[in-house]
Amino acid sequence: MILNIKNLHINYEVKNGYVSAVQDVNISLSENETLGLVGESGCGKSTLGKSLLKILPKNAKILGEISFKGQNIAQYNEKEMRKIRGKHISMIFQDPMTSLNPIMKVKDLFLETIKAHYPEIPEDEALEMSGKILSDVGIDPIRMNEYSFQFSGGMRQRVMIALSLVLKPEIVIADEPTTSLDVIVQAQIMEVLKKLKDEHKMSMVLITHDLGVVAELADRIGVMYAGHLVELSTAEKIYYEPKHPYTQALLKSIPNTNIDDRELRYIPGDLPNLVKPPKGCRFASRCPYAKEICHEKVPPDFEVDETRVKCWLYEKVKA
Amino acid sequence: MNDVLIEVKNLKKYFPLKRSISEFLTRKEQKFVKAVDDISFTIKKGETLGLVGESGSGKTTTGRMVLRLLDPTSGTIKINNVDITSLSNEELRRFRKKIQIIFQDPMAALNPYMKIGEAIRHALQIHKIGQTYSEQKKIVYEIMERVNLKPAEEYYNRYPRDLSGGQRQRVVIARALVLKPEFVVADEAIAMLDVSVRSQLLKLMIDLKEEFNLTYLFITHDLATTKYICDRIAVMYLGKIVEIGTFEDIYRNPAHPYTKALISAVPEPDPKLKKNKIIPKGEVPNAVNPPKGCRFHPRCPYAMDICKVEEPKTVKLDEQHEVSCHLFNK
Repeated sequence: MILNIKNLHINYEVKNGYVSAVQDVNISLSENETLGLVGESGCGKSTLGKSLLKILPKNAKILGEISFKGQNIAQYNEKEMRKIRGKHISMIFQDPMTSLNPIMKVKDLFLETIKAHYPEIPEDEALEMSGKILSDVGIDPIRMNEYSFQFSGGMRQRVMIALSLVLKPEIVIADEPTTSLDVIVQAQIMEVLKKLKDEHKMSMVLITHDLGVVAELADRIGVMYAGHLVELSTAEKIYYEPKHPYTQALLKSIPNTNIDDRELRYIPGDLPNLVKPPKGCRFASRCPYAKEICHEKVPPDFEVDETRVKCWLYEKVKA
Repeated sequence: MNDVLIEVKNLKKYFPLKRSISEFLTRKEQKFVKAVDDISFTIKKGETLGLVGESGSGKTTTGRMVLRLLDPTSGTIKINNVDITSLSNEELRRFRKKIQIIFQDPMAALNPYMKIGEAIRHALQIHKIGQTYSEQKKIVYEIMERVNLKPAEEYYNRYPRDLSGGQRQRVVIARALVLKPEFVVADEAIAMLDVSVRSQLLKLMIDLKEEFNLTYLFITHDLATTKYICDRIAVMYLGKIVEIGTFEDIYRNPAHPYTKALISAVPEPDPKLKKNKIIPKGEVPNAVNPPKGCRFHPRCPYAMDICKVEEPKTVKLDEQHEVSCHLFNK
């Protein structure tokens, strides 16, 4: 187990209280495993992903334990974190245009990253490393001499991926890596990620709102709703035997390309306000099966045939 | 041909590129971005036409020209047999009542300092509908209730920032429909919303279409949503319509290699489903210098010699199914 998250709470302090963005999340990541984190906006998936690198805004408070190879990095200070970022845990961001410095040539972006962690590596060796990873993601190394804005959207995201992998980190966090791309380019990038994941033997946390994207890559999928991790299981179990009412409803509302299925299904209602989150289950107000207890008490995690589900419906199964 | 509402013929939009002073002085040729390059289509009354394509395909430019938010470079756009490309500004303003648009980003489409009820009422003021303030307010309440912003009296005084993304988009829909238009362009109207909310809004748009006898031009990059709302689909690539047909034609018998690629690239949530994906190489090329011949040929897995030199003609495959591809040219 390379990463183990225990009782993680993340709150954003705001004017009139705090936003409970992540509440009591427990999750672990094994070597070579790809974990998908799925949910809609405001579910806390990006907050959770960013907390692993501690790159959250200043008003965020992290409580609980994030243990990376046995070290609780939740307690690390900025200086200690800088040694982890990029080298051990790295991140692929959603929008490569805003995450790549436009006034630096691509090769300088690589040199900067490598020098920050390995100042002893000579420049020609560093450039060779960069060229190799660039050709791995499908970019001609000669383009290192260009600036990021000279690349197309898909190519820029490839640069981003290469940059986050050049130091061979143990964990890569990909936060909506294909969301700003067109479908065809999205499919190309997914191919690249799939290939690299196998070649580099790394663990990956893939954060996305799109269950379709995560299904192709993830071994296990965690479904988040309004700050709670509501269900955790293998990709196949999530798709074929979804347990949590939210997962079931979410799966049904995804448009597919099956022409005979033209019925529109959706989840009525809206996300709860997380400044004053509901007392009980956060999905209760939209849940077709909600009982009295659902509005009163946050459900604990129940184990139901290898799926972990946070829902009172499964209370009896446990007993 | 009585029931045709929109008729677009040979529509083009070329955006001139900026020339530097030296280019100007040396009389270098003016270059253009050929955003929309000679497209024609019709939409019948009560029909929804889907316009599908990736970024840079010209779908948004087309939508804006149809409402004349942009002036076309050439071509005609007839709405109810009136050529709107030759209308004067005053005539156009009166015409706009009948043609409305739902934008992608409701936060950008709504004035953040205007109460949402007032934003909807503003449309009535401009078109001088309703004599008094209270009469207008009544019309606004009605439409707000209809799009499920209930209770309307309470929502009337809220600001866009107080609403969720889905609710904001309901305001934009209400504002477009309060004028009882005949034709609505929905430009990626649900693209920015979450999956669970997206279908809610789609359902609302379908219901409203029935109630108000609307005709839609539904612009989207997401082929999967078109099947719920569109009667026919036009697929655009680099300023051209490469294939058009009923939604069944497009889904069951996609003809153009690009359409096939678009369908196969849709990510499916079933992990066991290992689709045999045909993913074209590269990305959409620059519209300043589009490839010669068929514009898709550099990325097409079936490209032949002829595709590099000659632009394919449009071939009729079925009553309503047309494709522009050399594979079907005899």
